[in-house]
Amino acid sequence: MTASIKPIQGFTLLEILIAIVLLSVVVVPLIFTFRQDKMFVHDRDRVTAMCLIDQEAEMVRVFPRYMSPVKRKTIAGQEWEICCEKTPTPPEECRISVKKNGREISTVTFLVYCDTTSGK
Amino acid sequence: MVEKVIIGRNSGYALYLVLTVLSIISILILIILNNLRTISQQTAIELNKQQARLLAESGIARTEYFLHGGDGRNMLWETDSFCETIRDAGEVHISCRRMGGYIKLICTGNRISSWCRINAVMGRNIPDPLKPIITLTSSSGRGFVMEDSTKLDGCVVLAGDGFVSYSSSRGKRIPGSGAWVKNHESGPLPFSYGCIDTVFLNIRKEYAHLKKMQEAHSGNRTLSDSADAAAGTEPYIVQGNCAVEKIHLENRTIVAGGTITIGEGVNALLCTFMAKKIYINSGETVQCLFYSPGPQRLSGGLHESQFVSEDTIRIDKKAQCTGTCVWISKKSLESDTINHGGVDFNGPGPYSGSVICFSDSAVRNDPVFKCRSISIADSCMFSGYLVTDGELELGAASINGHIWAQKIIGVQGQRKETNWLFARSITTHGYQIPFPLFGAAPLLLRKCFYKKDFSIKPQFRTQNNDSLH
Repeated sequence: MTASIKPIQGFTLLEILIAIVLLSVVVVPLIFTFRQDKMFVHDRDRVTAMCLIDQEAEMVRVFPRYMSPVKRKTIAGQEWEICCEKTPTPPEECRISVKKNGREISTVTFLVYCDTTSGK
Repeated sequence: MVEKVIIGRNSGYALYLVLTVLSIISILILIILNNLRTISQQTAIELNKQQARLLAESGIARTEYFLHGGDGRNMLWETDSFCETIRDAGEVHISCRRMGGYIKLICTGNRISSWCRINAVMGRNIPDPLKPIITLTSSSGRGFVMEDSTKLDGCVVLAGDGFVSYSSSRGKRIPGSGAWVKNHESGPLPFSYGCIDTVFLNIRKEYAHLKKMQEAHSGNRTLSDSADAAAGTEPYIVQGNCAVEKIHLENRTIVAGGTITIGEGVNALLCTFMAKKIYINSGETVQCLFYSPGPQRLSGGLHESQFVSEDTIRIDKKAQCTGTCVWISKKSLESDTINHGGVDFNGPGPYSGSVICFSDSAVRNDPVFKCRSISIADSCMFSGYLVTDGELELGAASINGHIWAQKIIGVQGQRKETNWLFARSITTHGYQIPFPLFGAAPLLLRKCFYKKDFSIKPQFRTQNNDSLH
């Protein structure tokens, strides 16, 4: 005697697989695009900050007297702020911080020697 | 009784397929995540490197401050391991040692796990007394005469009440020359004898100490890539003569009791050569120091080095000396008729750097002793500083820099005239060639050689730590 069992109603593995692949194709890139974009923006900001610091540090070293405490720049529609502060006694400790939309992205500290008698 | 149960198809391939696809997707996700993490880490490392580099450059500022007299130090300040912590940014390690007239500076900045090391040889800015293009230190009587074709571009300082006149109208002051001719007394040198004597004292001591070391090789030696298996020993000391050929040397000290001869194919960077006499026939040297109690002769090659001698330094036609060379010669008296010292430029050049020729105390105290200190041949092109407490023999040359001498002996063929300029032109140079670390403040450091290195994690000495914070 042979007993026949009716197949249980539901999805087959193949159907699940197709669903997963379709889901992956649509959702995964979306997630990564969003996340990558966020991370890339952050990294890109840090690289921009690095360039701005390099530029400013060179200016401070070459013309230590003409340092301005706050500079503002607009890069690709974003407001950047370069803050520079120095201690009064030589060799002056100079701290440059770069902010984007009020948020600090990067900071460096270094020494600058500004001879008071040579007019440098 | 149940004999057989049939549940459709059950080969299981779909399960494998699902697992495979899920694995591939997981791997892809991991790769992308890892990629993102690497980019992020790399940016953070670059930021740390930037800070480390700025810290290393801070070492130069700190050295400048100390050499300028800061915190009770002075221009002779030297250290093997000065350490300073700069707020929360990181640490700076400084090693500062004299190398002839310049200093050799190694500054290392450390921020978390990023390091930056700067190897530099540095001189100083031009001392104020050297800013006029000509300074004559002895009374020039009625001043000096220059050929009508000679071009002077800058201030002239004369002792007494001398003035400048053209050869076509000798004895008549050049109209309007009052604006650029100043009359005031100047010392024999633009800096004290003490600082230059110290250079010789230290270097002579070091030479004597190295010669006595037990590791010295006996007899004569040839130092080359193929000829000497002991080429790697440091310092390399030879009791006799040493010929250096076809070898690349970096940061090495070569000492010989006899003569050092630099031959073809030598490429030396930041090396020190000490010998009784030095002959340079060929090769290329960059920021090396050559010291000899005896004479030195440069017959060929391309050089940007320091030549320090207690005898004559002779630069022949085929030798090229560019950039920030230094020639320091000490004049001394052996007997009434034999004297040593002087720097002779016999070729057309161009030569660039600082020439300092000074007398030792015996010569200084001998009012009768007279000999030429620096001689510049006809058609020579020289950029830099010519400084002597004696006489400068000057042919029809072009000087782009500054002259400091007791008097200028103009030479044209066999004709020699005191305080007469046959020179084509004497003009100030546009950029500042670093000057040896002599003279009074203000002192600002100028780069002769500068190399950044991010790849090496250095080891520091812990003893004799001269540190702040």
